[in-house]
Amino acid sequence: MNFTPPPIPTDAPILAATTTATTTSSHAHADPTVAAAVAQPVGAVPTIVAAETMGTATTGAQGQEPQLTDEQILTQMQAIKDEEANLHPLVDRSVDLLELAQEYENGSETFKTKIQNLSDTHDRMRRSRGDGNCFYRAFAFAWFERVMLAIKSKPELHATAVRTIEETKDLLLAAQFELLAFEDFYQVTLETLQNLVHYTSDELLTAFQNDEISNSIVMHFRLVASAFLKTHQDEYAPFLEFGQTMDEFCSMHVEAMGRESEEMMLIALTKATHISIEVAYLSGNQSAVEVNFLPFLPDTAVYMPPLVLLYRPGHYDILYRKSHCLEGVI
Amino acid sequence: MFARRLSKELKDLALNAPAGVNIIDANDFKVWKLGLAGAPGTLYEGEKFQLEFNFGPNYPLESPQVLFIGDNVPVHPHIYSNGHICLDVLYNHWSPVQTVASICLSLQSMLSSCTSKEPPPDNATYVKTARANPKHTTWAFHDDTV
Repeated sequence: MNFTPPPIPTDAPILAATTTATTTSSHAHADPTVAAAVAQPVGAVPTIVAAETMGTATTGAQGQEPQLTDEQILTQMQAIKDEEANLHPLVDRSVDLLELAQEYENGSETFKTKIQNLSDTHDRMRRSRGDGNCFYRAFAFAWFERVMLAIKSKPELHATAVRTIEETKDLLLAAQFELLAFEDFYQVTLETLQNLVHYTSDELLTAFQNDEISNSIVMHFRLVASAFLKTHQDEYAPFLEFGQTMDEFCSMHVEAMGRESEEMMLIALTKATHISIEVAYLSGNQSAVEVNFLPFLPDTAVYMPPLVLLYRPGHYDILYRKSHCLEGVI
Repeated sequence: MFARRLSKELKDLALNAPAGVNIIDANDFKVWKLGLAGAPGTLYEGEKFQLEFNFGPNYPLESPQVLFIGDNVPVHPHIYSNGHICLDVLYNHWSPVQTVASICLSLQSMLSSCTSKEPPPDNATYVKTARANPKHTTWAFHDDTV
């Protein structure tokens, strides 16, 4: 079965976005009338179910949905997926930052002003598909692109990146992940990184637009974030919801594809890869005209200017600082 | 690549399958049939069950469809008589680091911890209305103690 998130422009925030009312008796385990495998936490009465992973016409309000066969659902899901792939590549070509302002042409003045101000220091952006994986994909692409552009001027960045990725294997093993279960994702990530030696920008983009390569890399970085949290439980478990274990949190929110990332995942990935990030937070907050930058720093020394991600509520894209775009000035 | 993962899992299962688990039929990377034996000292001792795993093209990024098939479906508060299984790791707690072997272990432990062989309370209504694919059901995991 392929569950594809709905073709919405941004990620649906976990447990907060679209909700679909379903009713089951208090003793029932399951409601077979809704076409999606989503569920309530243990102990909850199943009345409202977050629609974070579903996205078809078959998940309509109670009692109104058409009865489709599994085959028809599959076909529909695939059609939605294909349409989405054409509209929004997993990672898109970079565009002038001011193109972003056009999205808000008839909208918020606040956003327009902030984008205008942002364009003083940043000139381009690159969209990552809003499929719940946008943070991991944007992070990986931004990092690998940085390394690729500096392959001649600063080859040591490539060597460091390769070593970092190789070390993630030990981290995953330390977190008790089975080699068999993660080595394919790890291999694809490492190979893509090694290929940067001869990749052109177009080839890198093509690799990240390929489902198999791109999703394997996303998966690897998800597992890295998860492994980091699991091996640093003492520090991070206090931030979990009451009663939730780190393993539960990681399997549901970090390891599973399509689940949106929160601050904790950004911290984990930053620390596990020793790569610093700056998140430009473009919010509708009218009290400020400047975009806020939130730094995420590794515990180790910063050896490369931070990757810059553009965050709009629920979604991450890649942002390019003016000086960083120039080849060689990394 | 995803076929590569399954071929590794198959090799691993052939060499060291969890106790009570055996491969009945795994000729392609779409559908596998596995045997699951009730563990000694449990309510299911001596019983033999059959599991069917259906792998979509995105396995292991997405969970396989897993159900009990055949004449003998375990009578268990979380297993419907149509073979559908109410187990969180098969649905919203799925993580790509799960494997066929780890699912079998989870099922084995679900059976072993059972204290009373009873069908789910809503079995009759559920099996009448459920789709063939249990992943099309909205599962509510409100009791993980049995």
